[in-house]
Formats: sequence, structure tokens, C-alpha cells
Amino acid sequence: MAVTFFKTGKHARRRRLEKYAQAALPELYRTALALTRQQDDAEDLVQDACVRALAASDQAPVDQQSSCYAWMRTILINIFRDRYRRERRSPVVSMNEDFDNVIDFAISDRSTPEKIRNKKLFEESLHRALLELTPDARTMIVLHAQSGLGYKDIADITNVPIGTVMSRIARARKTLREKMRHALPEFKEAINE
Amino acid sequence: MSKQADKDKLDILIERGLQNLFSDREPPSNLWDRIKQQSDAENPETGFLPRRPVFAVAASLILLAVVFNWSFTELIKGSGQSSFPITLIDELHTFHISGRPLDVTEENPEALRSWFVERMEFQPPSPPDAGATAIKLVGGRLCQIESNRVVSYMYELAGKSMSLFITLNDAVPVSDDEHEVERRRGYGHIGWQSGDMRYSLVGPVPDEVLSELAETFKEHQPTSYNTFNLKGPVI
Repeated sequence: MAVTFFKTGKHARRRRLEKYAQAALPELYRTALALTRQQDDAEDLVQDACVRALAASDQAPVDQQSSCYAWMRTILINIFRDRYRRERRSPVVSMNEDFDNVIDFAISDRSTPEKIRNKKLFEESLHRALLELTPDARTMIVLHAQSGLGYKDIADITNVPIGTVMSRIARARKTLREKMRHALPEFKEAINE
Repeated sequence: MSKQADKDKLDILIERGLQNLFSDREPPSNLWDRIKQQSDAENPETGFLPRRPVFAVAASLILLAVVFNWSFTELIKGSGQSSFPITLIDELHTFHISGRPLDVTEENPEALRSWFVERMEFQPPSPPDAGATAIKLVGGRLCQIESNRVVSYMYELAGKSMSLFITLNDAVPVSDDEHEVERRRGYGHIGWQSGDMRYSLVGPVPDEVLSELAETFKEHQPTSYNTFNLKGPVI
């Protein structure tokens, strides 16, 4: 009989994990989009992360939703890094689109069709710039800027010393600045390093 | 605008852009279904998980039924080993509060025995003579205690209904102190053996009354023998 009770506990744990995973899906997907080049890659990444998490439900920190989400995000990051190391593929990104007006979206909150278009163009240029970073640097800047994690949390997730995290994020920022400067002619003179 | 100001503005744009990157993008509506399908395919055990409360409730009810059945069986077993008197007391007490009528109303001892002969797997003795006591034979009940049919001759004493249970000796274990009165819920039990039969007198009367009645029955009880009813039970 005890076995039945234990199984019931395991099932309850699994159900809670499924609930939390489903709720975390948009955030995981957003992170995956930032890390990968295409929507299909992002979906695969999220799917693999969730499947792996569900398979390890007995290890999931299901006491708190935030802990569970952080745990799943770590799984996603690890899969992304492993996959990149295995495939050793380099992103090929073109930066030759016309982005003359893309910063316009940041000046006003009004959502005119033109501003929506400019926002989309800016997002695309920023994503392209992200993809030119190394996967590790991309991971760290996304976790820091998009997910709002501190250096220590990123160091824990990526298993890299905190000093290395800080320097890589600083370099990533500089690289992004350079890339975006070229994409946004208005700021061509802003970077003179 | 200075270069530094442009640089700061660009930094803010990038930071804000990263924060809002893909903020308006939602995962495909079928992504979770795909995840579940792959998870179930790779981990077949999870396919048996109760996903809806109704399954959990059903599983809980089955579990409770199993536990209850086990507990009840253990109770009955226990009563057969060490609490047979308590079981008989409970049986008579339940009969009293149920308000059920007797299975047979008969004051003639031989006629009453005949009614039981056709229904028992052994030949029961006649109800013992009560002698000069005030106790009066009124009828009988066919009882089932665990897997054994038990004769219950019913008597009345000063308006109180009493049972004299009779079964085979080997139907239930015998305890050393069965000749002493055991009490529960205001009912007393006293038991004895004679030949192949085991007698248990149960009723809501004081110990001394129960003991005196038991002695009377022992003196007047007919010779009993273990002869199985060759006709077999009717029921």
C-alpha cells in the first residue's frame, strides 16, 4: 500500500511540474527565440527542454513556481550550449538592410503602422547582431538583459566564474553597440573605439 | 548631439531592445501538445498518470476499498482468534438495534431444532431446558459468523432478549478464560464446551445472572454429537 501512496505523490509532483511548465512556456520561448536563428529552432529548443524536464520530474523544484521556472530555463540553456558545441555552426547574418528609421519607434509610444514596422526592423537588426555573438556571450547577454538575471545567477546557470560572466557581457555589449551603430546610421559616429 | 550622448542613447536603445525582444511573440498553440506527446512517447510510464481529478478520485476510492476490505477481513480474523465473544456480543447488539424480527418464532424446543436442522451443515442439539428459571425460549435466528453458520436460540428474561449461540468446536479457537463473563456495551458473554459443540450465552444481564443461567443450561443441555447433516442445508 505504501508504494501506491508514494506513486500518488509522484503523480502530484508531475502534475504540478506540467502546470508550471505550461505557464513558463511563453518566457522560455522568448528566450529561445533570442538565442536561436529561426522560429523552428526556438520551438525545438523549448520542446526538448520541457521533455527533458518532465522526464526528470522527481528532481524538479516544484515547491515554488519561480524556482521551477529557473530550473527549466537552466535546462534550456544547457541544451542550447550543448547543441551549439556539437554542431559548431556559425551564424551567417546579413546586416545590409535599410534601418534608417528603425530608432523612430523608441522616440514615441504611439503605435502607428510605421512605428510598428520600425520596431520590427529594429528588433530584427538587434537579433541579427545577437546572432553574431558567440553562443556563450549571447546566452549571457540574453539572460542578463532579457531575463533580468544578475551576474551570480548567470554564473550558476552557465557554470562559468562570475568574473568571466561580467567580462563577456561587457564585451557583448560593446559588440552589439558596434553592430547596431552600423545598422543605425544616426549613431555612426557614436562608437569610436 | 555629442558622441557620448549618442553612445548613451544607443546603449539605452539596445538595452531596451533586448528587454523587449520578442515580447509580443507567443509560442505556437500546439507546442505544449507536442511536448506532451513526445514526453509520453519517451516515457511510457507517464502515460498511466492520472491527468484529471476524476482519475485521482477513482484511484483513491479503489485504494480505500482495498484498505477497508483488508481491515474488515483482519477484524473478522481477529474476532475468530481472540475476540469471538466480542463478535457475538456485537452481533446480538446489532440485532437488537435493528428491530428485525426473529427468523423463526417457536417455543417448542424440538420444533425449533427441526427448523435449524434443515439449514445447518451440522446437526445442532436442541435448545437446553431452562429448568425452573424465569428464562423463556421464544425462537431462533440463523447467524453467519465469518464463514460459519451459527445457531442462535433466542430466549427472553424479564423482557430482555438473549442468545444462546451454538456452533462446532472446531469452527472457532477456544480461549482459556471463556468460562468467565466478558462484557461490552452492557452485554455479557459466557462460553463453554460440551461434546463437539461450543455454546455462548449472550445477553444484557448482570454477570451473576449470566453465570447462573449458564450453569442451568449446562445441567440440562442434551448430548451433542458431531454428525454432519447428510441432507445438507436448504439455503
